[in-house]
Amino acid sequence: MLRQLLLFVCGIVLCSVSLFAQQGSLADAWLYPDSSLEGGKERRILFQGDFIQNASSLPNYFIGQVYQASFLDDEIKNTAFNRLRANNRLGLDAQASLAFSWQSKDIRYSLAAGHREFFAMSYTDDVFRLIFEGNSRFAGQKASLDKVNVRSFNYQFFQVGAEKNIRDTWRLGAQARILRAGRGIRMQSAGSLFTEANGEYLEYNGSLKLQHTINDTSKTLEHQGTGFALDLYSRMRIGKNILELTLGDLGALFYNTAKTYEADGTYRYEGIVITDIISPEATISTAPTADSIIARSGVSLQNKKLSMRLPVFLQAGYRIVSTGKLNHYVSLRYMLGPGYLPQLQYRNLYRLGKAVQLANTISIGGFGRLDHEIGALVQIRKKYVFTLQTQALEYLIAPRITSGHALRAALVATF
Amino acid sequence: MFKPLGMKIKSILIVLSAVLLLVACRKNFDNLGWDSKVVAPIIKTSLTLENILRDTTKVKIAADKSITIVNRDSIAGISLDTLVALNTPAFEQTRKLDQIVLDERSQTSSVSFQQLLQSAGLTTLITDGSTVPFPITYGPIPVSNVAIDISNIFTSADIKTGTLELTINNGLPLDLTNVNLTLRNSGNSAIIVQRTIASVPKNTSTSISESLAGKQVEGNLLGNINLNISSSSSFVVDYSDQVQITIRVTGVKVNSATAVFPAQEVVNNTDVVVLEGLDDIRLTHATIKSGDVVAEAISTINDSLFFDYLIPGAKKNGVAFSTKEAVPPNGNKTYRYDFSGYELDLTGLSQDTFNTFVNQLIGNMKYSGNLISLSLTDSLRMRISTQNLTPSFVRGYLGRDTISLGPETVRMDLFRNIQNGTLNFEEADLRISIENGMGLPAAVKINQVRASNTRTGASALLTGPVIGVDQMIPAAVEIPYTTGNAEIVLNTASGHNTQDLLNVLPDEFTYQVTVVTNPAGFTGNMNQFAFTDKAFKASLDVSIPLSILANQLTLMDTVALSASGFKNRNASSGSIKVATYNGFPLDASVEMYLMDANQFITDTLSANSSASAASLDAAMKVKERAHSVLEFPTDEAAMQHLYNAAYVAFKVSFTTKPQAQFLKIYSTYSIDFQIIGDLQYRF
Repeated sequence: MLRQLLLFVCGIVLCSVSLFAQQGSLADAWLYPDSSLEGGKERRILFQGDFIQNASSLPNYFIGQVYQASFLDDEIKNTAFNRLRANNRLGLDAQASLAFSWQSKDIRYSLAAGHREFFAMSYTDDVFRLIFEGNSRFAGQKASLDKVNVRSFNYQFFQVGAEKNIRDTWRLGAQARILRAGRGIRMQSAGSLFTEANGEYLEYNGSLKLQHTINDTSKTLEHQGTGFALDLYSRMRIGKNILELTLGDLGALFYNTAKTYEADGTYRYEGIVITDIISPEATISTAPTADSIIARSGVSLQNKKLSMRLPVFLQAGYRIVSTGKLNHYVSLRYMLGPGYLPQLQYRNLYRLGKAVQLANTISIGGFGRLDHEIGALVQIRKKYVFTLQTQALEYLIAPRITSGHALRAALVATF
Repeated sequence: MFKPLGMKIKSILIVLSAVLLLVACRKNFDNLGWDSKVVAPIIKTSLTLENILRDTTKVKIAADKSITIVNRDSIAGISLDTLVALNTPAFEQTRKLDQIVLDERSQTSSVSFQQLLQSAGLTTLITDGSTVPFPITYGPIPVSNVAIDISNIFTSADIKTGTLELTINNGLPLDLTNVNLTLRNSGNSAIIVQRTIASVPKNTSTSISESLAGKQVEGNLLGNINLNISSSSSFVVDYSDQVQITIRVTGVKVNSATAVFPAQEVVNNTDVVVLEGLDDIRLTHATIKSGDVVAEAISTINDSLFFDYLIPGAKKNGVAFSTKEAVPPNGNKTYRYDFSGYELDLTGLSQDTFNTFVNQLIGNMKYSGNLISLSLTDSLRMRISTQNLTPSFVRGYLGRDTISLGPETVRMDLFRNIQNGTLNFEEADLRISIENGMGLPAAVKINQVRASNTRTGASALLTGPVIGVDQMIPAAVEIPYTTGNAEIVLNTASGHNTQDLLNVLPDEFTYQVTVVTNPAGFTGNMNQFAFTDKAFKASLDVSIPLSILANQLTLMDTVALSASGFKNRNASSGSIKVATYNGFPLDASVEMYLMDANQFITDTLSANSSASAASLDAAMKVKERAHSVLEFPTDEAAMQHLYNAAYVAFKVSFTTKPQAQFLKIYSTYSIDFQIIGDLQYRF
């Protein structure tokens, strides 16, 4: 247990974090104290990991059981069924990076490298029930497969960046990344699946496009394509307060080949057709595969190139700087990802002595509903700072009726 | 069965979960799973009667699409091998030398003038080089033991025929008169020649001939000569003048001899071989399919003997069978020759007989230059035989034979799968078809036909006018080749109880038949023929128009299950459904028996309903298919038995609807069905 916990923490620390443009990084409170736009002139090494998972209906308990690779019995599934809505969403964004930045004249340059995992999905309650209850409950009915949208990818990146004060009160920055793409999945469906009352046929009606790269699951970091990304951000001082604006993940991934299923119309599956079932040579030996069923239903299956835009996000944050022990930060973020809703976040930071700050964050929207996060910032010998943020309280208190996990950590060294 | 589809969904969850801990902590997700109730079609198929009968050759479809089931089972056959076996007796002969011939050769001996004068005691009076000035006459003068060597011809010979020519060439200046000559063997002193020549004038020669027949002649002879000399005038004396005696042996054939023999043919024999065991069969020709000719040669001759063995009447590609071999001196050797493909003339030397072929043996010696002894008692012993000789074709009169076939039993698969119930046919036809591939007439007598159902024990014996009566079967025609066909009709219309036989739904027929070839015996036709691959064949033909009346007719068939089909055992319980769209006018109920590898039944899956018969129109043809869903509840134990099953036996019971009425089955009828899984499935 201790070993697992250790591995878990190590994993989080080793992973995570895009650089300076991530929403609500606690390290910013130390790097840009008070009303500073540019921080200090020293060189910085930033080791950062972010893990954010959230869902509108999958409770933490369910996710936990999935992670623990448990058998999902009715009791576990019911925790999810109880929170299902007509339309649901699920998302995960995790990154790990190592960055180095330095000041040259009035420009701060940065180099960074890291890895990112992303998964976002919107789905109807019928889809979830179809998967976890089966289609028998839909006998004689249509199961809605509308608005099913999945986007998932991972990549490694190398990033260069620069930021500069345009005016005394306005600082602009940009980061460009080249991406080494690994896994890629994209699915969009608008339709329904009809199960004949006796199960004599299954009929899909609608449009479907599913593309996924053909990955070797035994390899961790595969190279299936390339991509690029660009972040633009600015920091403006308004009085004593700071307004931050970020337009991030402008870019796309380009995969060399992906298995592509396309359907638009009505597709019926009536079983494997055997022309002479009682032939002495005939034996019942061939189990249908997903591909054979799909092919028999008339859905086209080809290998095609896949291009997928990154989930562009726009974020606006406002930091209210006070001379007291309590600072406030409000932000609004929107990401063009499946199911993602605009997320409003409020955070306050409480100074506990010179070296420690505590954070308390409430957010609403995004992939989840209402979420709460706590965090701490610890300064060590004035040159190092360690931050840790976690969205685990609700998981511990009410795992069956709450959703969302997050753990973010950063270690910054200046010299 | 849906593992791959489940795996897709599962893999999405695994991706999601794996991402939860990013790269550091890998986890084994094999245990992640859940149960879903899945209902989905597994197999869809359609069966026509042709599918059910499996063999389209057994289905005849009429213009109105009505079906007649035809079935042919081979019941008997007579081939060329049954009729004819080419057995040849071993052809053995010991051939002594026909003749031994010696070369024609000569040998000359001489007596000088001096030798002659010495024998007469006149050398003191008549000296060499002197001239005798007056005529003289003197004699007789004996000259004894003149050595005559003819060993260059032979050292000894028992002469069968031959002539000795003796020539006296007088080289003296005097005439020789009253020449009395005696030649005898130097060994046994036997006189070979004793002759008197009246006169041999000076400088002339005179010859005489003497038969040597029956004489033993040695190579070294001695000559005794008595003669007178005379002169009518003076002459000069020259001691070197000679009287030459030349001996020439001509046309000598010996009984035995020790000699250097010339090349010569010593054996030349032509003989015939008569085939054995053919009884009244009279073959004039045979084409050999396989077999060997074997020759064993033993020679007592003191020299290599070269022999030719020929069968002039056996030809392959127009070339007669011929071999050339050598037997070592006083030795023996065995030779084997492939005789396949030869056309064998069996009409003998004068081509006026049968079952007979000619062979010829020729032995030769070659000149070797060696002195050897030969005798007419020396011999070449040859043993010629054939081994495994089988014909591919024969011609002639093929004999009268009575062949009894059976009692023998043939299986009939037509009703093999019927387990229970009754099946009645509105009409049926049974006949024996005969195809005579051989060029000889025959008579067939059916003594007994019995139809048996081994499952029920029921049987029926065929009765009717054909039983026990000879049925004539025509001969095949050779050019153009046409089989002699005949059909023995055993249907109801011809007075037989055929329906009784078919109503027992037989899976076996037992028959006893007698076939007589050439029932009229030999009529002078020597052009009958038979090929080895064209037999006399008889088949039992069943023809049943499918107008039936079935009541709980139960068929059972077993299908092997491949273990690989159920590697994924994720379905735990539920039911298996069979949805039918029945286009046959038959109600059908189905049971499935799950069996292990030893075909021991481990479970039975029974449906709660049956597949309804299609509805009929006024013409009693199917108007509309009937839809039914048969559900086979399958609990966890049954699923396990299904997973472990090596075989599934399907037991289907049919009942025609409406009952008590014969219904025709048409080729357009079919039944579509789907096998549907409605199961708790573990992903």
